[in-house]
Amino acid sequence: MIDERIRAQMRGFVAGMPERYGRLETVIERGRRRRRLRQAVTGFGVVVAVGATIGLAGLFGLGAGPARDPAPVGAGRAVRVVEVAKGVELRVAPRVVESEGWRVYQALPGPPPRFDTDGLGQEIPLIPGDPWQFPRLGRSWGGGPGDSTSDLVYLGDLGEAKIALDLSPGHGTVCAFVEMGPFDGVTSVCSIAEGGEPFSVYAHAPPIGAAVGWTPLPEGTSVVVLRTADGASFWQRPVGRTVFFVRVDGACFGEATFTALDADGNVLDRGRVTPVGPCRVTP
Amino acid sequence: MDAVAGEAIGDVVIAPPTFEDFYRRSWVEVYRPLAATIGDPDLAAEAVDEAMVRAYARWRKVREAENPEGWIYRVALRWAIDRLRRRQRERRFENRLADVASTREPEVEPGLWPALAALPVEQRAVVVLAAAYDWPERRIADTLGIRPGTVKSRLHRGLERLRRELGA
Repeated sequence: MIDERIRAQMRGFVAGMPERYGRLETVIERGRRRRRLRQAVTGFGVVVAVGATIGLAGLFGLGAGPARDPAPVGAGRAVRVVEVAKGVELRVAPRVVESEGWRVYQALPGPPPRFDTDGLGQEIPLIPGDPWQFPRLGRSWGGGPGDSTSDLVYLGDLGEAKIALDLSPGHGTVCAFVEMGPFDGVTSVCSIAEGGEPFSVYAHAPPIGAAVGWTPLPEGTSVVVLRTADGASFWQRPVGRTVFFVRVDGACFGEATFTALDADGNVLDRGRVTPVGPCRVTP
Repeated sequence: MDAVAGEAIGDVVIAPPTFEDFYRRSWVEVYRPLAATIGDPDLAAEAVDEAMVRAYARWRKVREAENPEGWIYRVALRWAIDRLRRRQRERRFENRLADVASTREPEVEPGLWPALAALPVEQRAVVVLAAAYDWPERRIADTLGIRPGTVKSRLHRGLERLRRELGA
């Protein structure tokens, strides 16, 4: 179909095209700015993290598009069990990443819902990611959330933020980490909650703002629905028995209610959070 | 605990490709045919980087696409075309092509470049990928986001016009 004369000419043409080279560092820096801009435009997101005692940190992601089904990491096979707080154990994937004296475990998602989630509102997915990122981040922030040798249970990504449970003895803390860029370092927000109850925090760490979450959730929790005071409804599948929702628009959550559902849509538990910090005076 | 840095133990979670890996692997693969299609190496390089910026901003989605390189190519091509139109560079296309070709490949017929430049860019892209890089129709279709039948018709019309222009 393509005669040899044209083929030869075209090959000669492309062979004569000068080489150019991309600028990876510049691209990444611009990409990070672009991503923050997109997130700022889309509003706020939610994250939930579970663990044992508490915690939480924030993050974003509203409007992040259809959720990727959390990968069933290690599902159906052997798992490890770690103690995330006194008396609270969590199943994690067998894989462990260790770097510079601290370890990162990968949490497991809760059971997938067998019911129709269409009417629950907007999903704010907490997406299991690559635990390898944590050692890299750890080098840039100089240590874990509690001290320089904290082990972590990585829950997943909420938009740009990485959500993890801090396994430092007695901490029982959920943290969100956001890498701000090559010169900005890493912003982290951690919260200690009373185990088993939803919590609400206001983080003075832009772009992370107000956040609410619940950890540890009842065993078997498949979906958690968050309803805010303005009538908006969001839902999330827990990872590591934790859910976490964060606003990045500077606004507060106000009063919010949580409903934990099992895989068949039955209510396992309910909870409520009230505004904290500057959110109390928000009109 | 038998943890080993950077290695999986027991069940393995395969880490998805990092953006950096994708960038290093794909940049030149996209740049070369794009530069040949738009005839402007500098603009092509700029376009690929712009597409990569967009890919980074939504990396989770892009990396799971069936053909991330195709996504980059399409974004870069559209961006480059917009820039060309905005800057009203199209008129300089023939000269630039001729300059590029004459400096590196003097055996290339001078008439090829004006003929190629006269093709609509959609046809030009297909002709470059098929005739210069020997890409099969399916790969071209996946990369450009069009049907194989469309690839076939664009290639047919593009080649026909090239032959006519070149007096083949």
